[in-house]
Amino acid sequence: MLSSKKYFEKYSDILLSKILIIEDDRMQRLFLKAIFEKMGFCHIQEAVNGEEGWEKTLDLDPDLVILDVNMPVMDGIEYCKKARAHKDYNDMTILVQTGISDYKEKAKVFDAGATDYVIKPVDPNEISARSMIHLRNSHNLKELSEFNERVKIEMASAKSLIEDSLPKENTIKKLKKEYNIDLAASFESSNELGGDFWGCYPISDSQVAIYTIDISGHGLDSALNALRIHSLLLASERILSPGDFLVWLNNKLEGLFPVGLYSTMFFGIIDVNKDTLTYATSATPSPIIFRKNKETHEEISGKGYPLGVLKNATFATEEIPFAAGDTLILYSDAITEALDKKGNIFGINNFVEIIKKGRSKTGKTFSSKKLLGCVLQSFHAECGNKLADDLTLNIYHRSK
Amino acid sequence: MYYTKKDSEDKREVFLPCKLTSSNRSDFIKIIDRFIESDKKVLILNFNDTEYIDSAGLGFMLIAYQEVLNNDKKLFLKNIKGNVLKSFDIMNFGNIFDIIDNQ
Repeated sequence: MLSSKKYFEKYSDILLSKILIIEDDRMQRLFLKAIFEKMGFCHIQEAVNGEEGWEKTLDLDPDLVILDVNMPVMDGIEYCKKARAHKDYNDMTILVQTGISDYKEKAKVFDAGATDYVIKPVDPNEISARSMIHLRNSHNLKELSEFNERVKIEMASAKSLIEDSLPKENTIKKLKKEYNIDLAASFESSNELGGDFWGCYPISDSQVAIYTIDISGHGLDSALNALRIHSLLLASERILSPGDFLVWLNNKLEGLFPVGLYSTMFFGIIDVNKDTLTYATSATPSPIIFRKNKETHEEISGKGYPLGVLKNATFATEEIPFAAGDTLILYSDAITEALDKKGNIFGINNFVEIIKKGRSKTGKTFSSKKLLGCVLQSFHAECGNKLADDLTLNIYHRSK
Repeated sequence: MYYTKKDSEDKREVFLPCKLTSSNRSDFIKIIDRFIESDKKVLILNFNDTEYIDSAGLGFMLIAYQEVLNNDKKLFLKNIKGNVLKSFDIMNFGNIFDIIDNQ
């Protein structure tokens, strides 16, 4: 491989790699060094045996080791094994140059952890080509690994932003004290950052707005758009009806979301004077209601256009009774779409069953927090703790 | 993503896999891109074998819809059933897409 201007331009990053030649034969060492210098590498060090090679490895952190097998003090096999046992060098490129043509001996070289080998007498073109391929691959892997690390940090930051934006304990206490609404909420982030969100805020002396949001897909895109919606909600004027509110929000989002992204949402207003729940839905999992002293449940249809997709989509406002003693459960599809231990979709029927079991355990004095704990415990017992999506579970109980 | 396709005259029918999830995104985009680049005018996405679709998968349909619309071609969704049909129903997709031969 001859040097040229284009070659240097194309491989300028690779040519900054650190090379360590471990070879007891002085002429062979000089020969190999000359090959790499001619290729354009400038960080080349030498060692006369495996032991010196190991000391220089710890000092230099080479990107490529050219390693002889038969050497005094410490041979190439031992050096290889030592390098692979060290956490910093288990994927370092080690190119073994060996005179051994026996396939069993070659297998020993690979078993010891060599990345590749060349047969002596070494052909300059072959060792150049093999070295460049391995260095390019490890350079690409390193860039990918660094990129992954940056993404992880950014995802953790976005996750933190979302969690910080959720209602705080003082809001939950206010709901209990001033509205006699016993709220228990759980938000569990999945490993793949999702776009789940929930919230509640008083809008009058007798009314509390409540909502859950789920942005489609996963990742930074979904999370950032969830925060976008949160900002819109904070900036919104008080809309009289939930249906009008979803119309307003949809029109704000339409054209903002990239194609393929959308949001689902439940938006409701609990009126503790009128004993009603007024709500509108945008393709949300069916909210569940348990009435006071009744074992059976009601499922509210979550049907509706997804937000951010269709210009001028309409959303109907519905009203149902929601009196003292009634319980409303809002949840994300992370629950109903989870897979149980047998690989079956958990589904809403199983979800309702674990809620019923939880209700029977809460005793005469109902506690949303206790019910939440029972439901989550049962859910994780069935479906494990690894979530494919963010899990939101809100339990609103009218205590008086 | 495993899928099969059948071309005839000006139509391309793509038979989608059992599960359509976020991990299938790049393959699905390729299907749409290849259709747009082709001389076919009609794309039929056949859900006969599809038993599960997640929120990202539903989003793919919106991508397909937009791309086909932008290129003056037509899109039909076919043989949607079971849980996939429930998901489509919740999203009011029947009012957005042309759905044919529902089971």
